Amino acid sequence: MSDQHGQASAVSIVVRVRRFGTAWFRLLFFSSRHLAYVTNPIKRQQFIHFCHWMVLTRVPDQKGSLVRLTRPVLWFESNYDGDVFRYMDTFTRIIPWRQRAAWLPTDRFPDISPPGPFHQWTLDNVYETTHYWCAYPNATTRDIGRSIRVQEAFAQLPSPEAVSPEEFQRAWLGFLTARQGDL
Amino acid sequence: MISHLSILTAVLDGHDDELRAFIAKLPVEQSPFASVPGTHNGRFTVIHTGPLSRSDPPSLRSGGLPHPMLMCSAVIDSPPAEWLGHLLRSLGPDAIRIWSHCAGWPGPDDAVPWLLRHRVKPWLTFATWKADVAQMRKALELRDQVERFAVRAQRFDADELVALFRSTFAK
Repeated sequence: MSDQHGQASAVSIVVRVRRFGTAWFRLLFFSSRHLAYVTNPIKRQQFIHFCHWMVLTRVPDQKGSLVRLTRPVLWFESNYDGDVFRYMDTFTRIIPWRQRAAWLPTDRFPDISPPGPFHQWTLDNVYETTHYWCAYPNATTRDIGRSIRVQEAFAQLPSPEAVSPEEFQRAWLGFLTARQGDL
Repeated sequence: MISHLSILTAVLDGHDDELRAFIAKLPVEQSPFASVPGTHNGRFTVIHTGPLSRSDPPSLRSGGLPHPMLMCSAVIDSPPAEWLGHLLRSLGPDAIRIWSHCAGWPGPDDAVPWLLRHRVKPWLTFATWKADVAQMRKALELRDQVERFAVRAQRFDADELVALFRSTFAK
């Protein structure tokens, strides 16, 4: 599967934008950039490494210059854990209105519910990644969060040279107790 | 500083199948992205000519992309020009085998400015963790090390714990 490397998956959704959709995306993305409550629920889910949205109004042509598209195109790319239906369904479950807002101005979007037509629309607009590579293929997004927390707590441990062995043992046990959920 | 780099180029008519076949054969474990410093992930996507949505009727197809396209995108920690220079060196002659199928390819000597001219800026980016790739790898490695150490040291007294800690972590 060229869309996967270890635990990490890649998805590209390329879909035309409806009339006035570009203005909608400007507003939506502006609010997403400036209001943490829009993106915080996604962060809490911890299954997306990275994603980004682009709206194309012009693309390179075959003469080496740019050609204006008759209608803009939304190009969405994500790097995540799991499969694309779980990905879309998780958004639908945790942030239904934001999920709806993200796809509403795109061509033939059938709404997020019922799931059948939405899954079909997703399949219609997903493009296979030809080659994909991830720098930490064996780690999920959740693993990375756990590791960062362990690293931060580990850095707080005293140096064994600075304290007695008994004090160090107490600090070590305190570290293990505090971070046991991340190990 | 993490950034999303996307390079979109037009594939010459009739070249998309050959280009896709070549890119699909690039090895994943020895991917050209693997030896480019500061790369979280990288991908090539070849988009064929035709409908953007496979269920579109022919009457709607003129609104889609006018010809096949190649998207090279990555999440990176270094400046785009520097990163692209590393990618081109990592690809070697494969860079020519890829982008010579694209309109306007100037050859390897002028490739970096040409690729930068084809950069598409993201409208919105999202990252769950904003750590650079070196920090992420180091954190993952340390967590593994700590897990192994914790299992091994669970019955140790204070002196044994300190001795093993010193030899394991050299802290």
